[in-house]
Amino acid sequence: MASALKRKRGPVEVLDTPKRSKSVKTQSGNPLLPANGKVGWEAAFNPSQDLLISTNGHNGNHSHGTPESPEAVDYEAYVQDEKYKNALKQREKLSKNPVHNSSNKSTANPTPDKAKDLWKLSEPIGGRMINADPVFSSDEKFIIVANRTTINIYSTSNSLLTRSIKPILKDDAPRSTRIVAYCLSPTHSNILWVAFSDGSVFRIDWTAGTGANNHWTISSTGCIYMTVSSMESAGRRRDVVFTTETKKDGGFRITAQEMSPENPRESPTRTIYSTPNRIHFMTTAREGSVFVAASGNRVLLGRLRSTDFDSVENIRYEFRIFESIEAIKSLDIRVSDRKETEGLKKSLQKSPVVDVVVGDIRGVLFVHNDLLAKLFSQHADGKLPPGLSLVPRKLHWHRQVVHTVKWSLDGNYIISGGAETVLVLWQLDTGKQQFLPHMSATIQNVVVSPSGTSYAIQLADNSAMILSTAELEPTANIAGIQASVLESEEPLEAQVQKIEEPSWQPPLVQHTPAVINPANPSKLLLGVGQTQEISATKPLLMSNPFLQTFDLGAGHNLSRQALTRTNITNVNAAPSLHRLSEPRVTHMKISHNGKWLATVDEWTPPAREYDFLTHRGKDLSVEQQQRREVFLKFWQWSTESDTWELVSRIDAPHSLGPDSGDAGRIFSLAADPSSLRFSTIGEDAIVRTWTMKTRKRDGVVVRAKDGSAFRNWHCQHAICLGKPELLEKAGNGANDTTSASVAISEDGSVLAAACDNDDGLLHLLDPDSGVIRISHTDLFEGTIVGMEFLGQDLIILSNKLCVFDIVSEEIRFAVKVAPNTASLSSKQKQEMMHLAVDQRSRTFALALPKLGTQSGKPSLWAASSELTVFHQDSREPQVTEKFSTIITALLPAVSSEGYIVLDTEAEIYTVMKKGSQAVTSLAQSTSALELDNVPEESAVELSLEEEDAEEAEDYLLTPAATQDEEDDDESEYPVVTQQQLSEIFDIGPSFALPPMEEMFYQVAGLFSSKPLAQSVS
Amino acid sequence: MDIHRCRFVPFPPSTINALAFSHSHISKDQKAAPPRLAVGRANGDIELWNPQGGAWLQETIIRGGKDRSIDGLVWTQDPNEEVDGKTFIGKSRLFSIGYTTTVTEWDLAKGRPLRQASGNHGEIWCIAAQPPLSKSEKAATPGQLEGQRLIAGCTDGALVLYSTEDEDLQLQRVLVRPSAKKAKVISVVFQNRNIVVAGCTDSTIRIYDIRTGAVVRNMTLGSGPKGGPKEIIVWAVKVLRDGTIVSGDSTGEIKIWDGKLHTLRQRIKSHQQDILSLATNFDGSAIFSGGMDRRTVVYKPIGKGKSRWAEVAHRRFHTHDVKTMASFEGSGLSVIVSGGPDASPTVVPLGQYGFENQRSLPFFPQDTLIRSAPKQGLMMSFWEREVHIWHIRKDPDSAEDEEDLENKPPQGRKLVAKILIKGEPNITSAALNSEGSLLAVSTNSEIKLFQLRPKPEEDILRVSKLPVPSSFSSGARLIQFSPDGKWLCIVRPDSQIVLSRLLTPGTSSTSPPTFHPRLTKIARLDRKTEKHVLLGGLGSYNRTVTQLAFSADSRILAVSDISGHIDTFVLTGQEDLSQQISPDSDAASSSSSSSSSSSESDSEDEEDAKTKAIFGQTWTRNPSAALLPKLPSAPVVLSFRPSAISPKLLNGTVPLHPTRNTPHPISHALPTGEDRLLVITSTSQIYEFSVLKGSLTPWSRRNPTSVFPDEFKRTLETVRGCIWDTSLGRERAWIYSVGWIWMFDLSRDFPSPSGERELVNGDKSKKRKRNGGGKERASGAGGAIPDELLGTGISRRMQRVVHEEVLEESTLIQDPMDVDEAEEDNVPELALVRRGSKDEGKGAKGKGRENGYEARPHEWHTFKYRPIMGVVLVGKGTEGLGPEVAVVERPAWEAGLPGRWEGEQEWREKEVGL
Repeated sequence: MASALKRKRGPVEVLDTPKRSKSVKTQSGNPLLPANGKVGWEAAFNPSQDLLISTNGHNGNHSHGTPESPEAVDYEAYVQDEKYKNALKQREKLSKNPVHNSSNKSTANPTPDKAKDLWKLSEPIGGRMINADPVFSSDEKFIIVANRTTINIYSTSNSLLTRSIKPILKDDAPRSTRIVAYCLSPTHSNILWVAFSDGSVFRIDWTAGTGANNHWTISSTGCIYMTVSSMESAGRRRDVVFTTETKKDGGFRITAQEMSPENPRESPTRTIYSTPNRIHFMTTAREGSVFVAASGNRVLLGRLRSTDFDSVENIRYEFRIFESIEAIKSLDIRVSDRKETEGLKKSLQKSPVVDVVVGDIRGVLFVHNDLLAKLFSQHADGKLPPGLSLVPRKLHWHRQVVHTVKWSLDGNYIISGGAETVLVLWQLDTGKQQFLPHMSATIQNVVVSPSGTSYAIQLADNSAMILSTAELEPTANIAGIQASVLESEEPLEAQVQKIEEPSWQPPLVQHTPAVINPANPSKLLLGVGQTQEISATKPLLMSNPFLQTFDLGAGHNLSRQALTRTNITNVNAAPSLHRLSEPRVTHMKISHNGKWLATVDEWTPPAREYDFLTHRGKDLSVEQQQRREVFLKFWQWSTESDTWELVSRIDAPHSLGPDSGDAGRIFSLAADPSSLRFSTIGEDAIVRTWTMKTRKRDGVVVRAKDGSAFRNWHCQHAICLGKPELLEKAGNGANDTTSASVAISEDGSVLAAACDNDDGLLHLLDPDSGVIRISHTDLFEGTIVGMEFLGQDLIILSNKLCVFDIVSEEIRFAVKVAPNTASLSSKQKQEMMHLAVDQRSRTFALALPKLGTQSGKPSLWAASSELTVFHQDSREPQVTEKFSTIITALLPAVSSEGYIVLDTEAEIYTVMKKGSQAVTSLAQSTSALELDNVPEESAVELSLEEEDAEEAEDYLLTPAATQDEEDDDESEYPVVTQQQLSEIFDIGPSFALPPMEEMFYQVAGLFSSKPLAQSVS
Repeated sequence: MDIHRCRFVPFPPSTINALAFSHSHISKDQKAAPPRLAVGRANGDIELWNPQGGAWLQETIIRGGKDRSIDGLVWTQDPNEEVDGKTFIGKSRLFSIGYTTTVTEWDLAKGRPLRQASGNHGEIWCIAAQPPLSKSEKAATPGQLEGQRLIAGCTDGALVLYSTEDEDLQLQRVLVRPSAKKAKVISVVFQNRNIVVAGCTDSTIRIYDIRTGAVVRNMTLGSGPKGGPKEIIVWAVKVLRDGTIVSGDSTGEIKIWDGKLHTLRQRIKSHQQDILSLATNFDGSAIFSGGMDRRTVVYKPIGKGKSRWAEVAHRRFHTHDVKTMASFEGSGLSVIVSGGPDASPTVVPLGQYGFENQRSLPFFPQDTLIRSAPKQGLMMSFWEREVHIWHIRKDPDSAEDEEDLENKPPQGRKLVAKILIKGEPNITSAALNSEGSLLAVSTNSEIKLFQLRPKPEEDILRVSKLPVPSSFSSGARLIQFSPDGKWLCIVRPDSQIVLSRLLTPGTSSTSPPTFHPRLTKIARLDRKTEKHVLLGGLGSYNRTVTQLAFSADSRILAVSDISGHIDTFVLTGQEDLSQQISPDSDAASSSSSSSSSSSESDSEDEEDAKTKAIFGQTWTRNPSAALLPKLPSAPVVLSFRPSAISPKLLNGTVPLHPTRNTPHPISHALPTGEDRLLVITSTSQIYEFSVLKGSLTPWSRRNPTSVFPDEFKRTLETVRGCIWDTSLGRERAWIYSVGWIWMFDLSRDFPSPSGERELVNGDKSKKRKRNGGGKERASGAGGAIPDELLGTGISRRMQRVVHEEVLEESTLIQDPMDVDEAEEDNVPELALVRRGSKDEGKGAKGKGRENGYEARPHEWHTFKYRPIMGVVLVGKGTEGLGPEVAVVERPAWEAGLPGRWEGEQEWREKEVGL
């Protein structure tokens, strides 16, 4: 065994020459820092900002000169070490360059020679759509959806990303700056107005991608919402931007601005309304002559007093304000021409009919007909004309908050959606309702397209789809990374009191089970759920029953399948409005050849379902354990159906304890890097190894249709770590296992296992025979978070980070984790600390969280995390990156040297060695490349007529158009779905595409023969 | 008080089948009889409710009988007449149907059917009255008949016209011949004087002209929904003022039809199940529908165009089907009343829908139906044709010694007798004497007497029927024994009051008690109602006696009627048991005369009665009876204070000697005992009269209702009864209604009202107008919904802002209080004067505090018990605690409603199709 490791070690040494590691030492002091304001290693200079800093007095005089010491060194001492050195260097530098190193301004340290460093952090890809209405382009060919800081333009015909525009923010914009609203200019259909939370407003030409670097700052207090209307007066038509923001002296106001690109310096502004209540929504109609806004539970309806104003500074609005009981969540207006003017005041006879629909946080919809005329028909003495009924229609089907409501274009329907995951279409005249149930997640936004032929629906699972109005069939589907995200602000509906759901206490962010398919390194597999945003103070126990396959190269969703039972097609809420919980996939590992996937899911019934047992004096935690369900599942990749097919399901693979029959939790799952073997360790402190065997019936191998033998997974060995006689004495001591870990060495010859109740023992086992070869002590402290092999070294992350050479049986180095990280609860550590090894670069990376506090309680607000990469041979970090979000998954980038990081903004970063190309780099450059194609993009339809294969390659043939063309003789031509085409064309930018010839045959193959049966997600 | 909380009385709620207002709309200048609501129930009872500005008093019940039910009710109004410059208001007539072939007209004053008519057609399912002739129509065709005819739809498809002319009810013609093929006519309504709209069970609405009997048009609804029955049943049709026809059917849709073109204009799916009832407001700007899914849905027109309608809101006011609805607008009210198998009429605001609460009226009668014999601890309840008697004991838990525990059965109550009355009619009233040995039960046609004797071994009562004098045969509306058990007071259906003397009060259990053969008839004061009032409107219905009370010494009798008059009678003379029962008993004659003579009997009768003293005693009208004023509303409680002092023995007084001229000398001595009578009216005004003086008692003068606690004045429920607590020198009256029990200490004055009131008017008067010193009544239903609970999606007030400057806040929704504001009674100044100067009052108060007066509350109340069917005395109670009472509750959820067609949560699955 040891010899094998030694053999392995050979090339390692070749790879990492001492020279190179030296260069790390000298140069890593000031690693490259991205331009987007990421806080880097320099942050360490400001102690208060540093994640891992503690106030103890370690500094430069600490004994850092003995790196080979087996004793654990304090982690922060490390940091101090580096700091000390860096400080020295910095001081030298400062004397030359007038650079101030205030913490946040990382861009202030662009030392060009140092920037050419070993590691770099890429720009993020993915991200989560902001909760704002998607925008259709006026020709409905494109739909614009925004992420936190980028505007993404998707084609509605093939749901591919056409362009992505990232407005360039002010240098000093805080990291949390995000887009709050965006809308198309009513004057110029190619202009998109984008408002950011820091108060900057961009005027972007989305067809050309220009305008992303200029902005106006409307307010220093930021911006809450924005809407734009095109107003004409004094012979001039202009876009008037209405924004709502906090006043400096408290309170809120709505302001109107005119921002013209001609004279960017000057933007006339007028405050049209101010109120002590927060205004979270507004919209205008009829060239700004009708103005509706929602603020808490108040509806503001305004009309322009006179269209005769020469400048925005002279705009005057008159408002009527009334209240509802509950806070308003959604609002929409519809304006139509007045046909009958009978019985109206003269001043109102020209006013349009304004119909308003309001959705509140308790699920009630109110429909106000002709509200403007009714409210303004008040007499001078404040009395209303007799017989006028202002009471709105009340439509109550939603049981929870109405997230979105919209009028249909003709005004005959209302479309609404919410947490019921049902799209409701209200036919107003007949009172009938039509339902489109079983959406995959809470409906957040619905938009009716300009022509009324389709609806765009944005769901809470970071996806959007376009439905045709007539058949309610999806025509386009856009999905991002569906991992959970941290909420950016407390939602409005939080003020509705609900029965408490089980939540994590103290708060934590669950890790996202994730693997990269070794067979196809651009495929990222994620365990995701019906993503609800995580509450910062009371994060709920989230279930993630789905497997999402995300293409890192193309930056889009490939497929989604269920790994456990789900409630998509079931009732998803109990009569008490509890969300029915789904199982949670806790671990996921893929075999070395990418053909097999092992997943662990567990489900515990919520405590409320058996708290009736308390009157019998039963211990609830025991009852809970008895009702837990844990499954280990083995899936095989089926190339035929392009899905993972379940092969074996093992119920309760681990028990609660040696004598218990109840399912115990599984703490760790490891895949053998060299053979088809998995290993698990559970609450019973037993290590199990799982291998396949061919399924036989009466001695005959059972074969599938294609002749391949069916195989089953079974437990090969069950190795009890603790000595049984000791366990018996200790009674139920085994139950105290709260963390454990297994790892399999690169060549599969050694299996390392440890559990935290076992006297700090770490065992090395032979996975083939299932025998404990040797045990070591003192290799970990407290909760074991992770364990990985890197060559002959075993890296163990617990309260200390320990690198143990199993050949020479010595601790190469050990570092203590900073105290505030160590003081996290065991659950928090297991979910929020991550360890990953990259065999290629012989490095390992760990991600540590830092929680914030809010009013004295631990909170996820302002939580941050730090990623540190160490080289196997060096106890000094090669790179440290600070994230203002929490890292939920950390993976080695299989195809290149580096790591992939997923955070709570659902963004994926890659930390790469310089010179290696990140998988995600293609996804980023796509937009930049396509930028040139845009003028031709509009010519797609024309070019299609030519039906030229070569052209089609360039312009992304739109299958919808193809079908239209062939409508008449549909039977003769095979139906080619857009998905199939996009699989051929959408694998990267043009320079990365396969040879032309190959693509031609692929396309030809689709059209000539029967296409493969493929599932359309 | 010792309270037995009783929930075992199995009073069955009876489905409301029909609701009808005597007028659907009364405009301000319209002269009309006061409106009444008639409620028809499945057990054949017709209840008459007086909306009374929102006080909702159940005035009388016309009792039904076995296998009778009221399935439809309709009122007609005879046209008003102008005679000598006076307006004779036309008579209000009430007709009913009951799934027979008969239409019945009711005599409201006597509580009896007046006339009936039937024809050779199937059972009548529905009935509607012709709309009255409007003035313009009258002018156009002078010769036209003015009355309102009735149209009846039958199960065999026949439509029958009944004429009500000349104070008669006759089958006029059969409009549509009955035939076996024809679909049932399930709903019928007049579109105008001549056009009838009939909804049938075969998905068709048929329109007929009653002049020719010809079909004007058939409007078909098409076939039913998939998976359901093919034929749609049109459960309800209504016509708006502009002639638009509205129908509600078994698909749960209301359909709106053009009144002239007879085409479908709009259909609105608003119910999950059948729509059973519809109601509209007078001007046709609102439609209400009620259905099997328990919903009440409100529709209003939206947009000003082709008058499209839309569902505005729906709510579930009922716990069962909404079977019937009726609307009323006028005299400050604007309400819809709906009813169904849950038996509670529910008042829903019409004009102020969404801004006012609904109000559910109790499903049991105003008369408590609970009686007791406190000396024996017996409690009795009666309904329909049953009488149940329980023996109430103290809970064995409270028994002090264990021996007691063993001897006693474990229950605190035992059903000791259960009597089912022979014959068809339902019980109108029943009485137990205080010894619990005699039970009198009355129906509309007879009075029955039972003797109750405890069986020696078992703990039950032996019930034996006693013969009754033939003079009792006319039945009774009310019946009551005097506290000393010597007199039985009978109020006949025509409100004539007779008293009968028991000869052997049932003290000895062996000999059955008999009655003095002579009945004493007493006559109430002639209140000089004008003839045109008597003949028009509701006639003499106002004079119906509803309350009856004996004083504690049984020597004063007080009766009151609906109009608010109280009559008192006293027993003069001294009891002389030596007198012989005179053979010239005119029992027969009196009974015969009772039927002929009207309630305001003349003075000769009185003279008659005087001469015919019974045992030296005569009931005469209280000399100061006329001094008692007419109360503003009908009294609902008459209760004499129990005398604090034990009644004086009469031994000391010398009986008068018979002389030649007066062989039976009659002492005209008036009774001297406690004569204070507590009167509570239906609007919760509380008065105390000193009956013999004919004036308010000093306490009542000092404490008019306006100084009662605000919380009490805000309550809506009608007071149902009163219990006195005079133990330990207390003077406490415990009064109760359906929802509360309230105690008032009558020995002291209420604290003077808050200082605000004492300020000299100015603003105050305005303020009072809004907040009201009395009950906060809005438009007849429950009170206004507070702003913070308003579920309408729009606030009452609106802010106007012109460019950052808040102009004003103005009222968005009109406040009904501004429209009809009755004058508040502002007596307190006078009352305060009567209390003496303010300083004194304060001094007294301060003094009281020193004396620990504060510990004894002026008033106390609880809402714990509900709904209270009745509270009765069942014993003397333990020392110091006050009387022992039984609080009988009848919660609706225990009443056991009939099964519903729809389950509780089925709608959820159905809607989403999960």
